Amino acid sequence: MIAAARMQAVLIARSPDLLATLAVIPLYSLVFFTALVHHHRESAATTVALTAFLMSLWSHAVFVAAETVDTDRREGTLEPSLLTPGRYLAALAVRVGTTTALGLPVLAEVLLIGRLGFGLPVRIAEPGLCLLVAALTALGVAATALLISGVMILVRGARALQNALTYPFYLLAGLIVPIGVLPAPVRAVARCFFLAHGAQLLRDAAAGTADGAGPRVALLAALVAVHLLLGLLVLRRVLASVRTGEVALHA
Amino acid sequence: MPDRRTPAGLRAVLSTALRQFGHGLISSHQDYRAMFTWRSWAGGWLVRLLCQVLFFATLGTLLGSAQATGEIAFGNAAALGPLAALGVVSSTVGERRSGTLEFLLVTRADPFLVLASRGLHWVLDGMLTSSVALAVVPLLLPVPLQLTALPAVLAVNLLVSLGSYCLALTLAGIALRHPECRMYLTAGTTIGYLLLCGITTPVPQDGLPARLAAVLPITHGLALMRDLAAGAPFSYGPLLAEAAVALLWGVAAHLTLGRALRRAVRTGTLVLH
Amino acid sequence: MAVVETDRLGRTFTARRGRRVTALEGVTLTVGRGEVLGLLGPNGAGKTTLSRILTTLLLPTSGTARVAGHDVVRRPREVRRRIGLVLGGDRGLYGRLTARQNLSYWAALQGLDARTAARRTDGLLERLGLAARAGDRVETFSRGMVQRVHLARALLGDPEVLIMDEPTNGMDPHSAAGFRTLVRELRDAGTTVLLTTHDMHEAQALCSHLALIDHGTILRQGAADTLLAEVSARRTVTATGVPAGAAEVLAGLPGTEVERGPGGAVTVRPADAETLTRVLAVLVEARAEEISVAAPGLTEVYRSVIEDREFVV
Repeated sequence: MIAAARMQAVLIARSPDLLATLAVIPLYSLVFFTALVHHHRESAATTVALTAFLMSLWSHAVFVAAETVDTDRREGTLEPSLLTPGRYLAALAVRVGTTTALGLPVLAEVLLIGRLGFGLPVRIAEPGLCLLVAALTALGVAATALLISGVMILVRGARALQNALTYPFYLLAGLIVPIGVLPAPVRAVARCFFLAHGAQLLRDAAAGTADGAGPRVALLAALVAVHLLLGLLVLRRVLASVRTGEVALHA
Repeated sequence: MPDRRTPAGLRAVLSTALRQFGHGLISSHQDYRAMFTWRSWAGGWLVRLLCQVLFFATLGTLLGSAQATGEIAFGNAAALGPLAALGVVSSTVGERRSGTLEFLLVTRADPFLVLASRGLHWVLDGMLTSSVALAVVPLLLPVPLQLTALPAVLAVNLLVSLGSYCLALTLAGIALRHPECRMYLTAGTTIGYLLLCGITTPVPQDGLPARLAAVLPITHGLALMRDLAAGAPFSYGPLLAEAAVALLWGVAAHLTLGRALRRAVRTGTLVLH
Repeated sequence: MAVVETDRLGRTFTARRGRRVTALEGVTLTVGRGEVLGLLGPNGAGKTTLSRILTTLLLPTSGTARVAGHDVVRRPREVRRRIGLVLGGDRGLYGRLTARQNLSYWAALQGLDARTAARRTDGLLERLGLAARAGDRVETFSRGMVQRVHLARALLGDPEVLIMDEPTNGMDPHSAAGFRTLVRELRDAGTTVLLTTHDMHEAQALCSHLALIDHGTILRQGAADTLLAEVSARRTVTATGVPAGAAEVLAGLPGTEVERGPGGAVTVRPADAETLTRVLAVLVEARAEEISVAAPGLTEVYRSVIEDREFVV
């Protein structure tokens, strides 16, 4: 499966347009940092840096990683891929994961923008925990990409909704302010959303206030695992639908 | 071809141009309908845009200022118009990818006019979503907007959106030659707008950022919209400044997009989809 | 021994509003080892549906199919290990990857270990004349080279059966000829080939057996020689410099089709052998030039079996 990861990394590195979200979305941190400086709220710098990081990770997954299957279908590579002895699903998961993982360095990038560009006190109190949570969250985001890629093929017209998958989820995950400020019914949904847990845990780990993080990390891992399972099941269903003729091999 | 120097000839030329423009508008509407149904527009796209406004408004909560929350919400709701106008960059590149651009170029119509009319649905979409946001968001957040001022605010927003549309056509001229840059151009411009035009943060007051802000669409118009919303009397200064900026970008669009199209015909580069 | 065999194979699709569309019906055929079966028929005849079922990409709704001794429905993995698919056209490869990167990726998907994958990839690049450009992106390749990469990909798993769907579609004549030479070599080495094509010359040049298919059913199948011998199509006589008077005499012969072109050129299709003799006599007597008689080819077989549904006037 290293071959699949390597192949996907080369494929993306050679498609400058696919790197656009990763190159541009972190720059939202400029907007956030400028607002903080203007309102003399420098203490919130790490929070908004993490916001920009998670926005980049998520949008890269929604707009790039989630396109992997459909791109294979459009370019005609789905057919030969399906003919390989049952490894395509695994290869897809690795490729989507690789694409998503390319968003991880953005964490360092936004922290540096805050520190060097604005002289803001961005700091990570518990780097180890932060990295672990960031990696788990990235895995969850990759699982989301798998799920979206499957749904986009199964449900006619779902593609029109791709653009709608960003800000509503940023709000739901409490990327700027904790989900506590959301209305009660929405808050209940947010509690089941791995990104909300990841975002809060990241903020706490950065601030050094994540005491007793073990159970929270375990909960995050469990939510991510469920998500991943769901993503793989949906994709397996898509690939099976191709065989029964319900889904076209070509887009 | 009628003689433009006679009044009748000029009328004929104008009427043809207008008709081509009208057809472009109709086809642009059709493209939009192919992309969205009413349900997916209202349940997906509109909800996303309202969430976008609310998301940036929560930044005000983080800043601990109700006033900032309201101002950011207003700025982002109004900006939906000019931001949507950037969609024409993608649809113009899409025209090249689908191979229809070549056919537009071989017709007798002015290709710039055709392309300019083909993306106008983005402006209409932006005006519609911006109007809904300006009407709905004040119900949820303390937005400084007097309802009686809404029509005047929207009228200014139309001018702002058209200015942004002209800037977007200029970018489309670049994107036609370098399609791989499309996302960088639109996403970069979005961030430039948010950062410099007074939408989420104050307009920069000095140096290069201030000079850039002065020639970008939105800056002058949004300041006027904020004043009008707060009940201040109408002032011509910012309106004229915004109109001048729109005109400037209109000329730039004609130069870059028009030039890109002429160059494409000369060198045959548009055959590369 | 049959390498590909189908028994009353059928496939229906549910179209909009629950309408049932039959894409394939009662298809029974066998292909022996080392045979090249040409699948001929118009667009929408069912050729692609048949090759999709044989490649396990689509499930049949009735009948059975076995490839290399394994049922395509119950043992798809076994079938996939033994087949290679070659598609025509621009699609089907990652244009932004090099030829070698493409092949390495598919070798990994085929389950080959790294060493075997590298050895096979190198071997195929060399054998298919791609070694010099192995490090270049596929998007910079000509159609002929892209097609060779397709073939290399199909051969990675050392397949017993190659299924080719219009492989030379859009290729220039030189590339197409080169590609056919490769297919002949494979055939001679014992690979069984199922070839879908619109190109009658290609089919005639490559196929040992033919199946003519339309409306989802096989209308005629058998060895290429037998089908050509059976066809009752007319011979075609062409000549130039035919005086107008002689051309009119030809047109007057019973049951004879005559087309007239510039410079006294005529194309004549006599009804039978007797008329053919009379046509030739008229042409020789009129001192016509470049007289030639062509035996019916696969095009005539195709036209006599498959009805023309688009250009009926």
